Amino acid sequence: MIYQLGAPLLDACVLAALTPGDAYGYVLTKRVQGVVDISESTLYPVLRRLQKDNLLLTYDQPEAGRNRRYYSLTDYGREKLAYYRREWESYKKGIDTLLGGEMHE
Amino acid sequence: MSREEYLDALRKHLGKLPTDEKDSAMQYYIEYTEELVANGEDIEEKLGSPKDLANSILSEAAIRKMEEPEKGIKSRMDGVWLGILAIFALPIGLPLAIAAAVIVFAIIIVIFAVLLCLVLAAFVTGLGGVVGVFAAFTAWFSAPMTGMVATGAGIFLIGFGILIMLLVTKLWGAAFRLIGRLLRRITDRKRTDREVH
Repeated sequence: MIYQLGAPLLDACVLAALTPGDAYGYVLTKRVQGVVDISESTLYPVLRRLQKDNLLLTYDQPEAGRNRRYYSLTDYGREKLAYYRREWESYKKGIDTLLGGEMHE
Repeated sequence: MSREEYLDALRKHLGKLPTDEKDSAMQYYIEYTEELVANGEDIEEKLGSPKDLANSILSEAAIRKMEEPEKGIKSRMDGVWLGILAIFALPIGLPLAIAAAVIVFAIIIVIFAVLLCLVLAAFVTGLGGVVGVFAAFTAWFSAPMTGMVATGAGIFLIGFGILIMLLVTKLWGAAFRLIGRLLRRITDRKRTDREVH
């Protein structure tokens, strides 16, 4: 992927990756990595920031003999995701117009 | 590097981080490396060196801290920053005008110093000529030739002094015209500045 994933878009992707259900770090990373090319170490700082901004909350759950910290969207997180989606739609439309050759004088 | 060694190294590199940030990061990577090992993946290949990983955590935490609205040192630094910004936000014309005034003042002083030197040179040269003529007068009787040469030299000096004085009066006028033009240009600049704003 040659296009850079800026901080807002990365935030949006992480929030969106939690809509199918709560996930712990490893699984969440795999979800995001399945779509965009990011390194394994990219997600922790993002998760920490989103958590500090009250977009995510965490809870611990023992599984397979170890503790897993699950990340979950807060109501505010869902609102923010909806906002990110609207922003993305208008951004996408604009870029499509330009790159898709749909621009007219 | 074993998982324990990797985590120890990571903890060491996170040294400067506040405890809660460090605990949170360590908790995450203790769990994460556990998953990596359980899935047969290589920790260093996936996460990079402990040092690089620590750096990415540290820089992100630093950025977050700077953006957080907090009291204490942070707000004091904000104050300093606002102060510096306020200085830069001053109307640029004010410091520029002060600088221009100082420069113009310096130029005027230099011009008058040079003119004063020339006046003194003319006066001294003329005086030397007059003294020479009088001194030569006594020599006219004892040694007429020497007297004639000395008188000639004295008259030459007087003439030279007068020439310098003429030059000074010409330069005097030129200096005033130069200063006038300088001042006019600066005030013109100010006027256009004001028109632009």
